[in-house]
Amino acid sequence: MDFDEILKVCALSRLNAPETRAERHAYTTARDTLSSLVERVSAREHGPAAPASGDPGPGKAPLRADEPRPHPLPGALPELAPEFRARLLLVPPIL
Amino acid sequence: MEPSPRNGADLADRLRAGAVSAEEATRATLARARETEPLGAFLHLDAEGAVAAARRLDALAEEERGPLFGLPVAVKDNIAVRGLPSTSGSALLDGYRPPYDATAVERLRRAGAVVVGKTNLDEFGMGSSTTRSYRAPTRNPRDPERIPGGSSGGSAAAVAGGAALAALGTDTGGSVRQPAAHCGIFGIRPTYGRVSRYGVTAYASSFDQVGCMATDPVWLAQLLAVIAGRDPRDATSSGEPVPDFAAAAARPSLPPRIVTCGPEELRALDAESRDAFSAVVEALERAGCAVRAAPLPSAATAVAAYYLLVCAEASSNLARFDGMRYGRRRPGRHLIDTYYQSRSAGFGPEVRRRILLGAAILSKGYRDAVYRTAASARREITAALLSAFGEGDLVLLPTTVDPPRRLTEEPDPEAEYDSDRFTILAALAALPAISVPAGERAGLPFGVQLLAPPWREESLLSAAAALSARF
Repeated sequence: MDFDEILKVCALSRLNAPETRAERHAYTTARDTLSSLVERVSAREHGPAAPASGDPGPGKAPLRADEPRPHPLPGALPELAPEFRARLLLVPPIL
Repeated sequence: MEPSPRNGADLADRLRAGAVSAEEATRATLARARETEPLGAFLHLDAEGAVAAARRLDALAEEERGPLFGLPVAVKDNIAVRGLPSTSGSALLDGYRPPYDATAVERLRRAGAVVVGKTNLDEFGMGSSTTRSYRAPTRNPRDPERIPGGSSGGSAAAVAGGAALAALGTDTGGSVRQPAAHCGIFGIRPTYGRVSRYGVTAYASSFDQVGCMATDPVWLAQLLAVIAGRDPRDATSSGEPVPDFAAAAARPSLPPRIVTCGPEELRALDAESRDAFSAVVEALERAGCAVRAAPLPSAATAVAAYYLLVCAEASSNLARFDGMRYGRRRPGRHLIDTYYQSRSAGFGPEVRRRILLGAAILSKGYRDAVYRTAASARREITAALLSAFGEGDLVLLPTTVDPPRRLTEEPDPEAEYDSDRFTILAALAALPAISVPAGERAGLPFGVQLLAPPWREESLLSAAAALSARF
């Protein structure tokens, strides 16, 4: 799946085309993941993935370079109070 | 206050005996939930509703009290609870409050359970870390700098942290069992069809199952017994008789023969996890079980087939979220543009990624080459697993490949998909499976899975009780 194909799939999914670096990264990772999964499941007995009629075949299109991965969390995690960890081990007797 | 072991079955007895009122148990649980709030286990705590429900239960005559009388439970936020927010961890559903209870919740309430709140999850159940909620990530009570696993990580953290006696989760490819293992509790995925999916936000309909999490197997069994059984509102639910699960869990017993995977598959584990798994095998052998390695389906093929099928189903299921009927709408220039804007703004990156994968898989040129191949692989995997039960009564596998990662680490999506290699087998084959706490590795909980033939949950519960008693 090359990038033009990603745009077509975006339209099928009613999703905007990637506009930011993070979005583009998510979409290109999807493309890479699909190629890899397809090759793995097809290779189990048939060898490398066979192209479907009329397209270059999964995993055959040239891959675009990945962009740097954004930090996974929306913001820095809050610091926990020092005594919080100790309190986690104490459970009210009723429970 | 001294550290105190939690035992839901014991609390159930004290509630039934009148030594503790439903309101007392509920208030103590809510206080604990507030105290552990930095864990981020809950998206919504319903203190007012829970106390009111507990008071109504306390007013019942003894003969009217159900088997779960007064027990505080948490519910994953992709399971509908009437009047409470039900976001599935997605900004797209922020503000949505279903006007009905899911069947599993309805049955819990009828049995006397008190719903204390809705728990955090990876958006729509798509993840193994509970860092992909539209709100904050959830922390692991055993080490708050680490993930609790996912996607039912909020439910696991609530139970392990003492903020609920038990919880409902959903398990598509391991979302109950993997967080249960990471948090050191029990988690069961029943046979597909054992529990109604009515009221559960659909992610991958041929895989999704409601599961239970608890700190002890008897309580887990009591919960499962209540929610199991045919539901006319879910055509995929089964009329298979529901055995006495609690009695099975109360009679710990190991089967004579257990099958496990070979050393090739165990190479996916880190060294400490391999040692912990070997210790489990040795404990079973000392207890008189014959544990033998047998060829099981290739995990690499299973992971690929699983994600291809799940993404295809997800792209179809999530097509309904367009800002019209549910959740948040972002106005566009016209109707179609409103769909685009609402979906693009509402779904997080991992959900968009899986929708795109699914749309590509189902599109012309890929459907035959990819979808049908994956579906065929699923049938082969199911046949191979079922044939393994000819050589052993249960299948033993690790639940996770390594300890819960730190919250600040983020693996490649494909590496994260691969980490599900041991949990997805039961999901692909629609088998029941339970994660059992089995000691520690590197100071963090370690869990193993037991898989059984369809409808044999009582074998799992009995064996899980016996196995966990050895650690």
